Amino acid sequence: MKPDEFPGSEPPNAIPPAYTPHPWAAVACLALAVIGVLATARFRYSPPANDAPWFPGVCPTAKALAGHQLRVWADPARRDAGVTQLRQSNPEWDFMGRTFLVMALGEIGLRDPATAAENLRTVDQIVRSTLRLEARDGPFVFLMSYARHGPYLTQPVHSLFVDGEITLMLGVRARLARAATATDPDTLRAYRDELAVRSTALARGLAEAPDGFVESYPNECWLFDHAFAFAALRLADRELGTDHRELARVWLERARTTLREPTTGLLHSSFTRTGRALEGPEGSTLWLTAHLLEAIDPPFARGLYQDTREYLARRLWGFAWSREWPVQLRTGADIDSGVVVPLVDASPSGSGFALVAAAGFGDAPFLRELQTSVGLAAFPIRDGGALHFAASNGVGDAVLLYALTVGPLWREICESDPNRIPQTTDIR
Amino acid sequence: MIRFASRPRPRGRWHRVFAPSSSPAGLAGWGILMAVAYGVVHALGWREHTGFLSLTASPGLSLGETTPRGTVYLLLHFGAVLGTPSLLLAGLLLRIWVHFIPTKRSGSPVT
Repeated sequence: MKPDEFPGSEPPNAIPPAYTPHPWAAVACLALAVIGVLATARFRYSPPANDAPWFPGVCPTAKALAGHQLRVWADPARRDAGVTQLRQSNPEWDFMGRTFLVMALGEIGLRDPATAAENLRTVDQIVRSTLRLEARDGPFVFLMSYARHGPYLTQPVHSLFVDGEITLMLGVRARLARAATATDPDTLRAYRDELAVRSTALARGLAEAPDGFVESYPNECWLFDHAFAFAALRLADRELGTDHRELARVWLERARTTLREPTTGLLHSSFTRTGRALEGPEGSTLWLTAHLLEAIDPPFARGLYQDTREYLARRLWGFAWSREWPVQLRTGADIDSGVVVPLVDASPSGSGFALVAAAGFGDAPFLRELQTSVGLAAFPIRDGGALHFAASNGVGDAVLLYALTVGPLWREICESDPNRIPQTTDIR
Repeated sequence: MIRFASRPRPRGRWHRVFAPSSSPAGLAGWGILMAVAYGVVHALGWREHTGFLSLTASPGLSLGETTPRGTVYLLLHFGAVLGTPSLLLAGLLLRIWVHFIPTKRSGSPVT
């Protein structure tokens, strides 16, 4: 019943009140508004057009991220605080943060030769600090505590996680030293000798592994770490004139047959030394693995990238993110995935490594959408010319920095034309 | 007595609770409230606590202490950057609705 159906039901002098429409009208307007805001939100958070690694020089966001990282490494108090913060969650992150920062500084040094000498100083500082820690405490210093809970099958104890990334750091340092014209020949020789020792030991470990797989933790091998190790060996090949292509080819042949997950065709993330699967395909492993395997088999790597994108990438209204697991193989969140955001199933670490893969494979639309998500949900904090992300940490920022700078050094590792900046491609 | 008994039936509880909020001013008010709440937690420096998403504790705090603050910041952030413009726009649309599509008096005065 409505009042005006009852004429005379109101006092004659009553002031006609203003009325709201029915709440369903408000709901309809709100739904329209939400759709409009979501559909246009990308314009508020998308990066500047030149914020991508396929433009010459160093893009603005990469400069700001590098500025923050260099400030941290220049200030012992801040560096110690940052390292403590990372190690409190996971000692691996301290180590990986170093690796990605070294890789990014190497890329920046080759993109902008004027920065090579300064970047080399920071890289050398990081490498020395890393080697000092490793010499003092062994590989366990960069591993989670369960590394001490069981015996490694291969003795003496080596972790491919640590050995591979240290070799890569040494390779970048040697390459950057060549780019920095002021490096004296003795220093350069010392860098290459150190790289030679490490890369030889790394290759021996991979060659002597009974089933081709080397432990990172006791009887626990990781695809990610093997990909890192072979990328490091390819860089060593460039710097030292060695050739590990056959070793890499044999390993990859074994990996693609042994580690194939039957439901999706993707590769298992971790497995025993004999290749028995421990953990299935994960975004925090596969994106970076696809990128790194480009150093040994570009067509296979690109195929893995496309498959990973098919199963893990999510795109909506100009935003993109990565799931941690394919829908068919969902498991629980862990230290590698980070907090998986409910409803959208966004994995922070998977999405971070997706940035690297999209940048490396020149997938411009996907990279842009991932960057837009970073702008919305990673909570940038700017301090003068420096930038870091609150939702991230030292390793996340270093991964993003690497994604925005990957180019000349990586092309050298892949034995492409070193002067070629990655071109965008239309990957659908 | 007869006239009193024939007054329009009062709307239900749902309507009484939500009708004020579903006016143009009510929607805009909620939007502004969200923005103000976000401004408060932002001014308190809670943005740093969103590191919980990468399982990283804020300096001097445990992850258990970081997570609730980070979650509040996260929700208010999305409330402010997506919710506030949506509510303001919805308020505007509703205003236009009321203006161009005159409705019968529904018995719910604007608050």
